[in-house]
Parts: sequence; C-alpha cells; structure tokens
Amino acid sequence: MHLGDQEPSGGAAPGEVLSALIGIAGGERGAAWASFDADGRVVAVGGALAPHGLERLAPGDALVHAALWLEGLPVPPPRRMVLPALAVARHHVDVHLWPTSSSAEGPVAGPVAGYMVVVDSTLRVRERATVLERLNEANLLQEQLAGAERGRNSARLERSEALGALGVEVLERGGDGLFRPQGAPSEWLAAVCGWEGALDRVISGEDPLSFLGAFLAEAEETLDGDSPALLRSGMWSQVIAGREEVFEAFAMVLSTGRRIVMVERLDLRYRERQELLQRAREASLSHEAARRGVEHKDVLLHCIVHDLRAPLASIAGALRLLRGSGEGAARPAVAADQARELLDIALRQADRQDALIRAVLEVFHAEVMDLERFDDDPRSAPDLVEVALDGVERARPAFLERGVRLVLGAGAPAAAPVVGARDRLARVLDNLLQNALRHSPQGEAVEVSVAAGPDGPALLVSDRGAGVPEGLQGLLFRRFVRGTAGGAAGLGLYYCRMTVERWGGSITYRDRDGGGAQFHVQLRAARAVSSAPPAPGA
Amino acid sequence: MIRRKICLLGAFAVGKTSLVRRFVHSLFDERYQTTIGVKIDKKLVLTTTHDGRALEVTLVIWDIHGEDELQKVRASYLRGSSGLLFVVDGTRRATLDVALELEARARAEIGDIPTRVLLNKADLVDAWEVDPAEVRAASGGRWAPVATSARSGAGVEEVFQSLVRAIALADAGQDTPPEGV
Repeated sequence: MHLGDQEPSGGAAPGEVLSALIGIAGGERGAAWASFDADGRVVAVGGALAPHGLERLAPGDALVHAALWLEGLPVPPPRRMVLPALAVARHHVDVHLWPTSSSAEGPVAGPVAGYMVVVDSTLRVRERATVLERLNEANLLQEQLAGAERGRNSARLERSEALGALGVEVLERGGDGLFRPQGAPSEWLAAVCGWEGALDRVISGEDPLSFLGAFLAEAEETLDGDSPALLRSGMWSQVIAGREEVFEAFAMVLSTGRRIVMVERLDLRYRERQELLQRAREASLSHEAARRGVEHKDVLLHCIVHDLRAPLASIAGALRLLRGSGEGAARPAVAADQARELLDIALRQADRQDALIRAVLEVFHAEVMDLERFDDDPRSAPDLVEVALDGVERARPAFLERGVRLVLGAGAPAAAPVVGARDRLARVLDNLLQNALRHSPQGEAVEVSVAAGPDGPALLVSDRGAGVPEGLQGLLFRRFVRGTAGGAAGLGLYYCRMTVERWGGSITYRDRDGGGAQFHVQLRAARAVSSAPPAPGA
Repeated sequence: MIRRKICLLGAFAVGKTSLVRRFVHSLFDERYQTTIGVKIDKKLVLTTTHDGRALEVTLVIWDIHGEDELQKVRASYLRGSSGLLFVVDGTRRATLDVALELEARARAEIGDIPTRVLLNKADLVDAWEVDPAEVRAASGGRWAPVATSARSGAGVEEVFQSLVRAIALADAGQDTPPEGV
C-alpha cells in the first residue's frame, strides 16, 4: 500500500514530516502511519501498512505507543522522536510520534491528537549491527592481542626467572637505545650495572669505564651491522660485596628483531677454564725456564772448559821446557834454577786449576744439594772472629808471595757466633781474599775486619786496588761476571752471595774511601732460639 | 673527584695482577694465578693538577689477561682508557716483544695517551735477560722503563702515581715525559 493511499480522516500527516520519514525509510514502501485521538486510539491508518503490521489496526484500537506518549510525558520534539525498535517479523521499525500541534504544555486536544509513523529501519539496524559486530570483532581481536602480549610477558618473566636461577640475567634494548632488565634485576646485576639505589635501571654503551658499558658499545656496532652474529664479551671479574665475581655477556638479535644482552654469572665454567689455562701456562713457563737453564749450563760449560784449559797450557809448556825438547826442533837442557822456576810455574797453574775446579764444584754442590745446611745454635755456630783469623793465616803465604800485605783490622769483638756453616763461611772469606789479592797492587795492604753492628756481626774485606767500575757494580754478584784482572771463572762472588743469603745475610760492595774496594758481608747473629732464615729476595 | 680508566697490558705471567694487587691492596702472593679475561679493580688516588691543586682520582684499573696464543687482547677493551701500563718481565726477553706489539695495537686503537712501561721482577735482577737500556733501544727510545717489583713493592706506587699525574696533566692539555729509572 502506497503512502497516502488512505488519508486519515482527521487530516493527513504533515507532508514535510512524511517526506523526511520516507527518506529515512529508504523509500515510500518503507513507512506506514496512523493518526490517533487524545485517548491514544486509532483514528486512521495509511502508508505501507502490511510490512509493518499496521494493517491489523482499525479505528478505535488503542495505540500503546501513542498512549504512553500521551501520558503526560514531556513533549518531544515534533520530529524525529525515535522509540526503541519494534520488531515485526524480521523487520526492524522505528516508531515516530508527533502531535498535530504542540505547545510547551503538550499536545493540543482535538479529534486527531497526533500521528504515529512506523518506519522500516531494518537496513539501518542491520548496518548498525554489522558495524557493531565489526567493532566487537575489533575489540575481541585487541583483547586477544593484549592477552597474547600478557602471555608473552608472563612467559618472558618466567624465562627471566628461570634464567635468573641459572645465574643469567637478560637486558633488552628499548626504542631509546638503552638496555633494561626484563624483570627485577638481581643484586649482582644491579652492582655490575651500577644501579644500586638508582631509580632508572638502564645501561648504555656510553660508559666505557664499566666493562658491560664497553661491551654494549661494541655490541651495538655488531648488532647494527649487516650480518649481526652472537657476540661474546669474554670473561671479566670485579669485586662485588667484597667478593670477586666472574661474568660473561652475550649480545644477539632475536628472530623477532629484539636485541638482547645476556649476562651470566660464572662459577664452574670459569674454574674449569681457569684450571686448563693455568696448566697450559705453567707448562709453558716450565718449558721456558728449562730452556733458559740449558742455555745457562751451556755458557757455564763453555767458561769452565775455557778456564781449565788456560792453566793446562802453562803446565804443558813448562813440562816441555823441562824435558828439553820443544816441538819440531831439539832444545838444550835447562839449568837447575830455571828448572825450579818452571816447576813452580807448573805447580801454580796446577793449584789455580784445582781452585777453579773446586769453585765450580762448590757452586754446583751448593745449588743442588747443600743449600739449607747451616747452624744457628750459639754453642756450635761458627765464630766469625775465629773464621777470619784462620782465613788470614791460611792466605798469608800467597799474599807474601805477591808482595801484598794482609792485616787484621782492630776493634773485633772477642767472639761473634753467626748463623751459617763454618766450612762454607771459610770459603766465602777465601773467595773474597783471592779476589782482593788479584786486584791489589804490590806493596798495598788488604784488611780483614770483623765488626759487631745492630744487624749482627759483619765481615769486611777491603783492598786498595782500582775498585769496581760503576757499570759493573750492579752485576758484581751474578754468575760469570769477571773483572778486568782475569784469572777467575766469575763464580766466586756469586758463590759468596748465594751462600750468605741462604743464611739470611747479605753481601754488598762499596767504593772504599781513598780508593779501592770494600766487600761487606752482613750475617745474622746466632741466638739461643732457632729461627728459619727468610727466603732469599724476600 | 674524577674517574679515569687505565689498562695493564703485557704477556702472560709478567706480573700484571700482582702489580695491581700490590698497588691496591699492598699484598703479594708467590703463587702464579693466570688471569682469564679482565679483572677490574678500583683505587682512590690523590694527585695534583698542573696548577698545583690537589685532585682525587678514582682509578678504574683494567688488568687485562696476558697475551699469548691462547688468549688475544681485544682492542675494544682499551676504549675509554686514559692511561696504559705496559709490563715487561725482566727475566723473559720475549715479553718485551709482546709488549711492543701490544703498544702498536693500542696506539692504532686509541691513539697516544699517557703511558708507562714497567720492567717488572726487579727482585730477580740477577736473572734478568733484558735491562732498561735494551727496552729503551727496542722501543726506539720512546720507552723509559721503570724497574718494579710486585714482590717487594719497589717502584710500584711510584709508577702508578706517575701515570695518574700524567693523566691529570693530559686532561689539562699538558704533556709530561715518561719517567724511567
């Protein structure tokens, strides 16, 4: 039925309103109308009645909507009053009501109090439902995404918790380029990153003073590169809460593009690696020391052979002269006094060779076997005064022969028991005297004295030779160091130092006032209570 | 107070860790304990500025593992350093070559910064295979080595103090020549 086919007796609906409603309804077939009186009863109906169920209305029927509307409700605007959708069949309709005329007090009384227009809003409702459905879908999707993110966060925290239990903490780089922990950081991570008490727990590669800061700077470069790979920091240690802790960090880009840094607190892995490296390096050091030892022995052997050969040449020469036959041509027999002189030369050279061999043997012996032997009991310890007196007497003939005086200095105590071994102490003195004799000009004196000082008894051997050149003084007590006078293997002073240092003593050199050399052997006084000597060089 | 980072570099077993231990804690341990990676320590040091003012410096000391075929020093460890200490073991000639190589790499990475060279194990001078003159010659005269002994402490405090002073002066744009003995 076409709108307007049946005009209400009380007057048609206002054309302007109907036009608007028809527009809303999507065409004339989308609307029906009914006029009603002041009691809300139908006066007339029209428009597209069937689709909206208005065909069942007859004049006089009560219109519930109109009645409600007429029940003293505030007067609605004359148009566009929309009541909740009325479901008819599968259609949705909007019901519009308006008075024939209105004032502030309400509809005006008359045969037709107002009009009700029913408009098919199915299309709009469906559209709205579609929109709503999409909105709901979007909301649902958003909720699903949020749920998934919550799930991921939860999983991340769980992973973080599990890694934390294994001593691994994870830092993730944010959009601002700073790295943050994924959960509450452990105390050690806070200490490593310098976060103690800090509110903003972030770390960047701009602090090269902290190891992690320096590593992050390197990591940024690598991770920003064309082919980012896993980057290891290498191990590092620092003291945290008074304890040395060891760490290692790893930087990587995950498949999602996230950049993370894992910091691991090491213990067992570090110890295993440390042990392996320690062994390897100790082996390397041992090998190096052995190689140096062999080299030194080679040099020593060369020196010994050279020094032993020199006296032999003199002895052989003297013997050949005595036999009266030189190489190649016969020689006349030597006179008796010349023969004695040749024998003396041979004997001296033999003595010299013997002394060299003894020196070598003593050094080797002292080095490998007899280093710890000494006496510090004052009842049996060697008396330095006695050793000095004996040594002077023993050396006197050699000094006489060379025209060098040997004197015992004044002021020696009656006795001076010292830590040491008598035979080796005597050997120390012999070495110093031989050294002094070698460097003393004829007619000068070598003085041996014993002094009691606050550090213990000391033995001093002084000569009037040329002294030791300054460049040689620092090397004087090393092996194979020889002065310009020659005649020694360069082991005598080395033996002296090694021996007295084993007893907790020392030996030093100084230029003597007025020219010459002075060797000062400082020893420890033997006391009633034994005590081990300090380690050499300590 | 300012913070400055210094690094100790050298071959393995030259005594870097012992020198730091002596300087920071006044301790020495006879046992050799190889270093893996980097050991970081700190010490507050008092020095003077170019105009004679007292200056407190928190020294962040990076004791970097010894260089050999098993561990190579990463150049990135040196970034941000204000000073370097190169340690040579006087009893091992080969450690001088390692120190020279490390110095060349360090200069390439971070340029010229205050440097000191320590000829360590002065307590074993009898066993030295290399002396200060040889170190000077090998470095082309650039190095004036300081004889040190972590065992006795000889020269240790002095060389660290000397480096800190050089850093303070470098901060002020002034150069100081290295002090050797």
